Amino acid sequence: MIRPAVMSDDQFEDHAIGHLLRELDERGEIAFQEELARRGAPGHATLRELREALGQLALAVAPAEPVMKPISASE
Amino acid sequence: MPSNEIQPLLLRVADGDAGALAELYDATAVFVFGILRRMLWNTESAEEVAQGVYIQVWKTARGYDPGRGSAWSWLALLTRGRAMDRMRADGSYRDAIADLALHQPDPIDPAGPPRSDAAHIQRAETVREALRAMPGDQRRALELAFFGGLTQREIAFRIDTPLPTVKTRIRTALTRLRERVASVPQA
Repeated sequence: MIRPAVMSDDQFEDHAIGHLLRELDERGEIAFQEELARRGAPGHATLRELREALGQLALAVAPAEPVMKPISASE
Repeated sequence: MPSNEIQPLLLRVADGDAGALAELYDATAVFVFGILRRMLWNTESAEEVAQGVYIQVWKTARGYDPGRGSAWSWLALLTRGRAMDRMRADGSYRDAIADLALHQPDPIDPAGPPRSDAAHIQRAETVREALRAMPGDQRRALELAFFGGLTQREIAFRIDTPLPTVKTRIRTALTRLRERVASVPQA
């Protein structure tokens, strides 16, 4: 059974953005996770789309330059 | 390398394949370094943190779930998280970076860097078009939140704007971006 949403869509998106930007406090994170669970698949789809938008933003505007030292998986 | 080809590499890394980590590094280091340079404003710091990014990839790739998003976005947000950790470890450094980000005339360069593969060129250009079409206050709020490492509350304080307005700007900007990104077919 789908439970009714507690947050408005805008509030949910604000929380999702805060979650992705790692700026929610403990209480906010709990509220967000509860709302995400309440919303089910549509909520996860919104979160995924926001995550994708942020990821693409980073890749599109960050200046790319030649890199750097090799790494070792054993580090 | 086309956008989605790093997903199999990441999944191999999750299985403990060190060779896949080296391949992933070769395929993504330029992008990771670009994000770190953008956030930390310092090549040396970016190089240091980049090492930590790939160590974290090695340790946490098992937690990557393709159903929750692309491997690129997972890596981009992991990279941002490492840069944020670096900023938060040194508050004065973070303040200086935030000031730099705040006073840059146009923090997001709509021209952007050249890309070497068609899939990235198309997606990056789509994002940049969306940024160009966006009101400057929305673009700036997004830049400060993502690359400047400021919380929305800190942005509101620094630009002397009510917090709800800042949240609305960022939410609206991201909504536009996600609509545009969703309209571009996956490679």
